[in-house]
Amino acid sequence: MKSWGHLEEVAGRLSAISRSQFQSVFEKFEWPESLPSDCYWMSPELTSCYDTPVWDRLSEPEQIRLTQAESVNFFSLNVHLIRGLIGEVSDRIYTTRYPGLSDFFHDFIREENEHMWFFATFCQSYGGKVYPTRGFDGAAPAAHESVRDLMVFGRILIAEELCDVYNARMANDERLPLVAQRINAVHHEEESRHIAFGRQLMTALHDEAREQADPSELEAAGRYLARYISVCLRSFYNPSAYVDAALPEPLSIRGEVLRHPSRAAFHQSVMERTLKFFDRIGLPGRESIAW
Amino acid sequence: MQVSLERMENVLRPHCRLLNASEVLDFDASLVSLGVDSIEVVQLIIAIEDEFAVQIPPRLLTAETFATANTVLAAVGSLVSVSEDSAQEARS
Repeated sequence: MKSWGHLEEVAGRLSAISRSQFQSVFEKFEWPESLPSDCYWMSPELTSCYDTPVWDRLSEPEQIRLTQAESVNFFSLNVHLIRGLIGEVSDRIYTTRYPGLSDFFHDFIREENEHMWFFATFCQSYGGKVYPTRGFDGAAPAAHESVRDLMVFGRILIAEELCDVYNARMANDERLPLVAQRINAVHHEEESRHIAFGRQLMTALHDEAREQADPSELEAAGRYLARYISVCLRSFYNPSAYVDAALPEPLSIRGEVLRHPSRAAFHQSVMERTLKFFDRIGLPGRESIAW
Repeated sequence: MQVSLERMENVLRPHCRLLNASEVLDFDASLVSLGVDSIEVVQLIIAIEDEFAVQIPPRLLTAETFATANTVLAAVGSLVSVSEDSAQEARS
């Protein structure tokens, strides 16, 4: 298939860039002993309560504390995402299904391993912990090999693109501590290669599934990814982060903000780019997303 | 606050994607077999926390807790009684 050949070309180019720009992750950042407690650590516009009555009710110190706890939550989400992603890619390296991609997978795993390290270092140094994941791992449903991989790599692409929207917006936000800006900037820059690869892979898998799998399986995969989008968006609303920000009634806060229409509009805006891509390759399921 | 079978069923049903509205929810049936996969369980956790006003701690976020409706009921029941005890202690 043409899209598979193109995928190997793209992977080769991205590997070459990754190797030519290599710098040890341990030299990329300067880690201050502590971060100022009186400034935002995450852009307030990206916090889960923004543009709702909850946000308006918070005092300025509470708003600042919320950005701090949610920056640790956001980076914790990245840690868990990357752990799962490395597992999936490791399962496929040197397999007969992806023979031309093993070299790229090495670079991919190395970069993702570095990303996980800097995200976790931030969380542990300034938040005292990595927030635990609010679910548990599960295999993609049984289906034709191409459809199953479409669900696995679709999940990865959704989470990567969603986090990248946040990274891109915070990379140059001068209200944040330098180390937070830099983490967002480095991740945005390196993740753009992974997203480029992920889109090529999704295109190839979708072409393969259309040729070889039952159409009903492809439709089910679209609905599965739509449900995953809903879950991903809700992972930003962590009651434990509200507790750490010393906000009262954390569960009520989550319920109130999730019900507010401005949040659904925000969710649609941050997923727009990914959904346009899914539309372009013809992946169904958009109508199943619970915004 | 009590965790009645009826209340639990009301929370669980919308997440049992493979259970028809006319079918009885078997509290011993595997939730995975009823359509509660690893994605749906995240939505279910939020629904349970909202309905019973308790936060499910990480130690209970396991496949064992979400194996059947009965295992979920037992886990949530223990949290609700702990939460009520704490509230009572705070009042006295």
